[in-house]
Amino acid sequence: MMYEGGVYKHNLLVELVEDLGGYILQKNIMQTEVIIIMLVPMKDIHLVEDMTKKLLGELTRAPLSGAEIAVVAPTLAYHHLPHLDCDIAEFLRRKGAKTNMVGLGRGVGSRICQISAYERNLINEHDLAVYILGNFKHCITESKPRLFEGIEIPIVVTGAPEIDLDAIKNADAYVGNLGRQAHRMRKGDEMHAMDQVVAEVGKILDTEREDIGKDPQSVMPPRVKKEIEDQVQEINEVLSPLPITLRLKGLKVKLDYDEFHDKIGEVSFVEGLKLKDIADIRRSNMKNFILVDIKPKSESGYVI
Amino acid sequence: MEEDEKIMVESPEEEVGGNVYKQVISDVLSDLALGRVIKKVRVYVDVTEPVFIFVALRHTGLASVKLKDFADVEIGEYGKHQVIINLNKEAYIPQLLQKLWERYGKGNIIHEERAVVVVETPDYMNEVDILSEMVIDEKAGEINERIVDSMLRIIPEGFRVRYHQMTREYFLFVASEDSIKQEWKDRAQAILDKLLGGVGSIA
Repeated sequence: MMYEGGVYKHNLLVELVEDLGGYILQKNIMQTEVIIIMLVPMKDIHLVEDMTKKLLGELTRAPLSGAEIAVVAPTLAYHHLPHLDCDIAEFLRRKGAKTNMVGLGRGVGSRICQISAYERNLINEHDLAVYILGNFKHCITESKPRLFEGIEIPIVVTGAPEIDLDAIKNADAYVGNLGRQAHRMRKGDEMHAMDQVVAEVGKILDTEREDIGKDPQSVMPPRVKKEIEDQVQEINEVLSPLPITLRLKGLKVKLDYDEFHDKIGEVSFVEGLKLKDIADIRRSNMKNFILVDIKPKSESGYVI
Repeated sequence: MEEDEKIMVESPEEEVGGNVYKQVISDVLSDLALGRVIKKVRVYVDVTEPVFIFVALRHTGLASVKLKDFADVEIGEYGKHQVIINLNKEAYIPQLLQKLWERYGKGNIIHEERAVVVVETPDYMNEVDILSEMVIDEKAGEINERIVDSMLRIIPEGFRVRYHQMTREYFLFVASEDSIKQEWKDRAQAILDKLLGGVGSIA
């Protein structure tokens, strides 16, 4: 769920969610406004709704909560940025996702476009990638699929023409009517197309979540987030936005890997387990951060 | 009707792409305030080749700004080797000072009062005439820069091999990933000829 409202007394809502056994995923305070993205148990939603009404805030469903999405542009030059990419990222964020923009080094052109191993690994750290491509069908169907090679996460592609999904190799969804634009997305059909991107992303994430549900994770990522916040003091001094970012299958902790990965592994749960017993802790390609991949039940043997 | 359109993008088998490209071109031209400089734009894109041809006609006749247009230039008092510039407009001071510093050196330019610039030079009798005819702001040069900038923004980023012609009447760009073929240049020339012919007949 996403709460939008004033800063005044918003702590009441935070405390209520914690009392109900929910989790605060993200809290952004912008001057006098606050946006809180949270997980709330289904049966207690009415209590949160009542509190929201009391605080004169607004509560909306945020279907992309807890996912980290890469928005990929062929390069960072003004040919591809900022308008379309930023607008799409903004739409995804409004539905609760955490987005990272990835500009490829040599993603331009049709014959000459390429993606490096580093970029591939970086994109693979996300839950889903949205590739923002251009105006020409030939380009999207023939040349750019080279940029999707080696990407193991689902791929959503956007572009201008209407294209059958089958024509684009390795893509999981395609949304038309976007393409390369040099102005901000304001018109009705443009907004509609971006809503469609969000819908496609939501659909794919839902199936991903279902797949995870078949073999549940040993522990829910939001719970790990809470435990890390309580047990690793240094995380409170991190200035990056969202010091602990949730992913579908784990988390990204924005602390230096070499210095802190042992400490993160030692985070313990009341059930007597340590995080390193139920999760893989590895180095992220992004600024040497720490990636935590939570093992499924079939691998660790526990669900807590 | 087709002939009258300001921007036209032709793209075989890529109608949607062509239409979106038209929007991109008009956005870029208006971002750089080139709408009134450019008369007509014709673009041919074929991504299968791949080639991008851009031909545009421009309006001519943008005068450059000379010092005498916005200032009174006279010799200094008797016995002093000076030229005095009394400014009527402050808009061009940065460009003016830049040009004066280049020509006479910073030490010889005295700018104590806001609207008065004093130039110290031994040859003040000749310099007074040279100065009043000095071109301070070259509109055409600045517009050329903007046009090149707009081209780089419009052409697909990967098309790094370029061929261009630029005159006071028109400019023509051919861009591709591969080396430029003679047939592309010929096609660009044909588009240009048609455009020049068309405008000529209307005038």
